[in-house]
Amino acid sequence: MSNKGQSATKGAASRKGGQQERRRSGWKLLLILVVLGLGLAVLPTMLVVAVGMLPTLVAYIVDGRREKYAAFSVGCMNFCGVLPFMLQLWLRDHTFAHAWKIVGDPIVWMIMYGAAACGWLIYYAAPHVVAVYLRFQLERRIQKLRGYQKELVDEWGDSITRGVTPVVDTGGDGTVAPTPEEEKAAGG
Amino acid sequence: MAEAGSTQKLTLKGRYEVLLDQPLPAFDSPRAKAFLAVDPRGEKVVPIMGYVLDRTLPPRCDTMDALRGVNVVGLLRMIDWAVSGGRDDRYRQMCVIYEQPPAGRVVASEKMQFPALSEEMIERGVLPRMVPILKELHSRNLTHRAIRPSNFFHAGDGKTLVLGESITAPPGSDQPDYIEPLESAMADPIARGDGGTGDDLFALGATLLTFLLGRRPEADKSPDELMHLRLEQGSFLTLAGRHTLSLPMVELLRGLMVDDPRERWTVGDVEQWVNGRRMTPNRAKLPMKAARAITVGGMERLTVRSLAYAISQDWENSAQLVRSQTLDNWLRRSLADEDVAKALTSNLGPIGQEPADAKTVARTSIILDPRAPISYRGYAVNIDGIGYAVAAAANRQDTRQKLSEMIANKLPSSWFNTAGAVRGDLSRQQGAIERMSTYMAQAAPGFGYERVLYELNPFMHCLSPLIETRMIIEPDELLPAIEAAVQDKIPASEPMDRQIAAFIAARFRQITDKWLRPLGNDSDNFARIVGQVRLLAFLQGIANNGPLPNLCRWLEIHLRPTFSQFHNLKKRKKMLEELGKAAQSGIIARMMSLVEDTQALAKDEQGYRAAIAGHNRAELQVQHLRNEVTHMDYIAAQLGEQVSAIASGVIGGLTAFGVIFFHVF
Repeated sequence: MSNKGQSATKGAASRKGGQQERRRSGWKLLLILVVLGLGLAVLPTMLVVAVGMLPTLVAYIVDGRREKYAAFSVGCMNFCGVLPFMLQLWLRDHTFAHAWKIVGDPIVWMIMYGAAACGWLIYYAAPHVVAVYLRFQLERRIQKLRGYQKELVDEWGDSITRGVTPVVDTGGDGTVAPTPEEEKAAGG
Repeated sequence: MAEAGSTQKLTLKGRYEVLLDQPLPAFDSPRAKAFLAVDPRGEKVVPIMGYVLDRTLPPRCDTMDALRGVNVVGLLRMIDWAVSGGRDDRYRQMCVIYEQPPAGRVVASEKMQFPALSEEMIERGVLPRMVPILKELHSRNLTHRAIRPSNFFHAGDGKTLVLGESITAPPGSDQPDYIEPLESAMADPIARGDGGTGDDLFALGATLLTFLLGRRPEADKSPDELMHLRLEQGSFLTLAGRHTLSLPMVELLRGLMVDDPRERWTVGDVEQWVNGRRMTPNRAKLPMKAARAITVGGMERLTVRSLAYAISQDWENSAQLVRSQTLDNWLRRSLADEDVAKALTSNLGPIGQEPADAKTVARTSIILDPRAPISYRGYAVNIDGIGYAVAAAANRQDTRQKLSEMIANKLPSSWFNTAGAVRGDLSRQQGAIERMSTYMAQAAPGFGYERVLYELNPFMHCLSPLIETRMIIEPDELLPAIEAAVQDKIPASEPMDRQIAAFIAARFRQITDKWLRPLGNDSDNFARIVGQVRLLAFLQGIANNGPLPNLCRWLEIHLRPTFSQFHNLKKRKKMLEELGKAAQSGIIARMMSLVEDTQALAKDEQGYRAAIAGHNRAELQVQHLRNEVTHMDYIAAQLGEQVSAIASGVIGGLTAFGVIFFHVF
C-alpha cells in the first residue's frame, strides 16, 4: 500500500474517532442536563444524595484506574446506605425541612458513610481473597501433577526421574496416560 | 578309584561285575589296571577280567565296538565294554571285559631278558597264529598297534603264544621306540596315531627279533643314539645287523622292518613265508647319504631324514642353521638334493641372518622329511595322533600350549601340502584337521582347545568339573547328568563352562557360530547367560529326556537379573513369577520363551520412554505453575478489583432491593 493510501486510511480513522468522541461528549452533556433537571425537580433528595454520596465522589476522584472499580465498589455500597433515607423522603415528607433533619442526624451519617466504608472494605479485601483462592487452586493442580508423577515412578521405577534414556516425547501416544494438565486442556 | 571304592565293584550293563578288591597285577596293561571280573549270567565258565581305563585318555569306542566281534585263536578276546553304573551315579568308569590269558606274560618288560624263542617256535607257534589275527584285523580295517614282546602271553601249551589287548591306551602309545617304524617312533608315544597294518607288521618284525634274541636288540644304546642310527642306516641294519640269524629269518625280518612302508611286507607276504614259499631277500635300500656330514644336536648327520629329526629335536639351537647358507650349501653340494633345497627356499623365503622362529623350524622339518611327524618346539605328533595328544595334554599346560600353537599356526595344513602325496592314507582327514585351526584360533567358549579336543575325540567324555566323574560320552546324557549334579547344591558359577560349551558344539552339527558367539560376550552378561540357556534349551528339545527342575532352578537364578531389562516394575514382577513357574516345570524352553519375548520387551521400552516423557512434561508443568506464583499478587490485584466491583454490585443490588421491599411493603 502506498504512503498516500496509508495516510488516507489514518485520516479516515481519525475522523471516525473524532466523531465518536463528539457523540460521547454530547451524551454526557445530555446526562448532566437531565440529572441537573431532575435535581432541580427533587432538590430535598439531591441534598441527601449530595451529602450521603460524598464518599463515592471522593472514591471517584482518588481512583486512578480508568475502569473506576473502587468508585463502583464504594458507590454501590454507599448507595445502599443512602437509599433508605431517600425512600423516607419520598414516602413521608419530601421537604427541605425533612431533608435537613435527615442530614443533621449523625446516625444517618454513620449509616451512609459506614456503607461506603463497607465498599472500601470489599475493594481492599477482594484481591487478598482472590489471591488466597488462586494459590489454593495452583497448589491443587501441582498436587495432581505430583500424584501423576508418583504413579509413573511406582510403575516404572526411579530411573525415569533421572532420564537415563533419551527422552522421546511421544506426545501421550505411548502406554502412559496424559498428565492431569493435558487432560484438563483436552477437556476444554 | 577311591570314589568307586565304596562298593568295591563296578557293574557294567547290569551284568558284568569288576571286583576292585581282587586285582590281577600280572595282567595289568601299562595304562590300565586289571581286576577279576565275573559274569553271573554267563553260560560257560570262562575266567574274565576287567580293565579300568585311564579316564584322562580318550576311549576308542569305535575300535572296541569293532573288536567285540573278533574271535581269533591267539588273540585275547574282548568280550564287552561299557561305562560302569547308571547315569545317576556320581562316579563312573569305563571298563573293558576281556577273557583272562591262559598263562603269564612272555616277558614283563622289554627291558628284561628272557629265554629266547627258537626259530621253529616262531615259525610254528607264533606266526601261524599272528597271520590270521592280522588278516582279520585288516579285513575289519583295524590295527592292533600293541604288538610287542611284553604283550604276549603263554598259551599254556608251551608251544604257542596269545597276543594281548590293544585298546586300553592310544594306538602305539605303550610301544617301545624300537618296536615302532620310524614315523611312529619319532612321535610322542601318545601321538603316534592309528597308523596302518604296515605299522603292525613292523612291530611284529621287531617283536620276533626280540623273541629270537631273548632281549631287547641294541639295548646298550640310548634312544637318541638308536634313532640316529636307524635314520642313518635303516632300522633293520641297526637292530638286526649285528646278530646271526638264519637266511629265511633274515628274509622275514628284513621284509617286515623295511623303513619305507611301500616296500614293507604285507600280511600276504608273511603268510606265503609261513607256508614255505621263500622269496628273494630284498636288499636293504639305504637312505641317500651326504658326502660330508653336518653336525646338529651334537651328532654328525649324513641323511636328510636324520637332519630333519635332529632339527626338530634341537629346534632352539637349529633356528640359526635353518635360515643359513650352510644348510643350503649342504643340501645342494654335499647331499646333491636340489629339489629339497629349492623347496626350502620357495617355502621359507631367501636365506637370512635372523634365526628362524619355531613355526619356520617346524616347516623346515616337514619339508626335509615329509613322512616324519609334525614337530613343534620339540613335541612331535602324527596327523592321526593329534586327537589323542590333544586329549592327553588337556591338563598339561606346557604340552597343551605347544599343541595349541601348532594347530593355530596351521602346521597340519603345511604338512598336508608337503606330505599329502606321500601319506595318501591320511588325506581324508585333511578337511577335519584343517578346520581345527579355525576353532583353535578363537578363544570364546565353544571354540579353542576344548572344541578341538571334542572334535578330534568323538568318544571323549565331557571334562566339565561339574560332571567329569559321571563320564558323560553321549550328548543326550549331558543334561540329566547336570540335573543330578546340581540336585543337592546349586553352584555359584554360570551354568555353562567352556567344557560343556565345547562338548555341545562338537557333538551337534546344528550348533553354528551364531549360537556360540553370545557365549563369549564378556561385556554383556545378559546376552551371555541367555546364549547359554538357549543352547541348553535346544539340547533339552532334541534329547527329549524329561523335565529338569534342578537345572532350571540354577538357570532361573542367572536369568532373573535379565528381567531387569523390563522397566515396568509390575510387568517385571509378573515376568519373574512366570519365570519361577516355568522353572518349576523343568522345561528350559518355557523359560526361554519368557526371556526372548521381544514384543513384550519392545512394548515395555516404548512405555518406558513414554513414561520418561510424561514425567518430564509433568515436571515442566509444575515448574510453569510455580512460576505463576510469582505473578500471583499482580493477577490477584487485577482480578480482585473486578471481583470487588462485581461483589459490591451484587451486594448493593440485593440490599437495595431488600430496602425497597421493606419500605414499600
